[in-house]
Amino acid sequence: MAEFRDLEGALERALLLLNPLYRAVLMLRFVEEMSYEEIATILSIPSTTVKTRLHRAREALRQILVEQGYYEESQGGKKYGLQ
Amino acid sequence: MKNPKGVRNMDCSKYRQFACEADTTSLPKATIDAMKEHAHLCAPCQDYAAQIREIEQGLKCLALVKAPADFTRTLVKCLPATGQGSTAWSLWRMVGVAAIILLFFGFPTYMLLEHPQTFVESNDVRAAVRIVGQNVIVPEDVVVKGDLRVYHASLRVLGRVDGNVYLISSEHSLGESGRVRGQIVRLTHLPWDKVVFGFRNISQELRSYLRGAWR
Repeated sequence: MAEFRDLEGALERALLLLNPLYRAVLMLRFVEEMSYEEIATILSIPSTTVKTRLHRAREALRQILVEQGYYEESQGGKKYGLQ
Repeated sequence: MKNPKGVRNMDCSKYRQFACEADTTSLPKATIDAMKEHAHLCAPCQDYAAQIREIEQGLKCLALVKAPADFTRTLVKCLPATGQGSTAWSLWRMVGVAAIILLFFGFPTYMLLEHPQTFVESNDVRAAVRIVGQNVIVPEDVVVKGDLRVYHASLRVLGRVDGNVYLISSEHSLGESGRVRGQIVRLTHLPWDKVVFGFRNISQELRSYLRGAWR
């Protein structure tokens, strides 16, 4: 059972535990609502790397939320990028 | 579309990968259909996709912390300070480079102007030029491949010099088999000659370091 049901609070805690590389792409994409090209320019990385990092960042964030008890562990999948 | 990626054998791992890619890539219709089919049969994957979407929505709704009122002003104040430091560092670097260039290229000129003793310089570091007292001798079996600069000496060429010979406050003589392929340039004590020689010398040094790119 989840320890808390406040998604915003859980996300803020999870983001602090996330690898800074992943945190950056997540914030730029979803909070700042930037395009992949804009993120690529800011971080000086190819846009394909932005996509890969976003993919792994979401999975890592979900994994942290699972470990925090916000989500229940589902079968399959793999862990990425915990700090 | 032929064989869209991952349609065959859609398993949980592939489903989760595509679920994350859905935001970044426009997946083929067949792949989306295969995902729907898989999700229909796999409750954990349904949950997974829902969680990913919920996380994305949650991130979009995160309350941003507002910067303090004077943040921008403080930031702007900091920027010129950083710039000044950078300029100062660049200035010191330029001074350092200029000093190195001056020492490196100015040394022969300094020798010319201030050094009264016998001195010989050659671009051919392997040339076995002999110095006996105030005499500089290029022996019979020696070939100097490059220019020769002689300061305050009497040059005796018995071998061969494949370049110019610069005589600075010096004189020269050729032996029977002695030969100089380039020019023999005499430099007097006139200040203008010294300046001209200084520039020629710098040009010579540059050419030897940029060999191939210059010539």
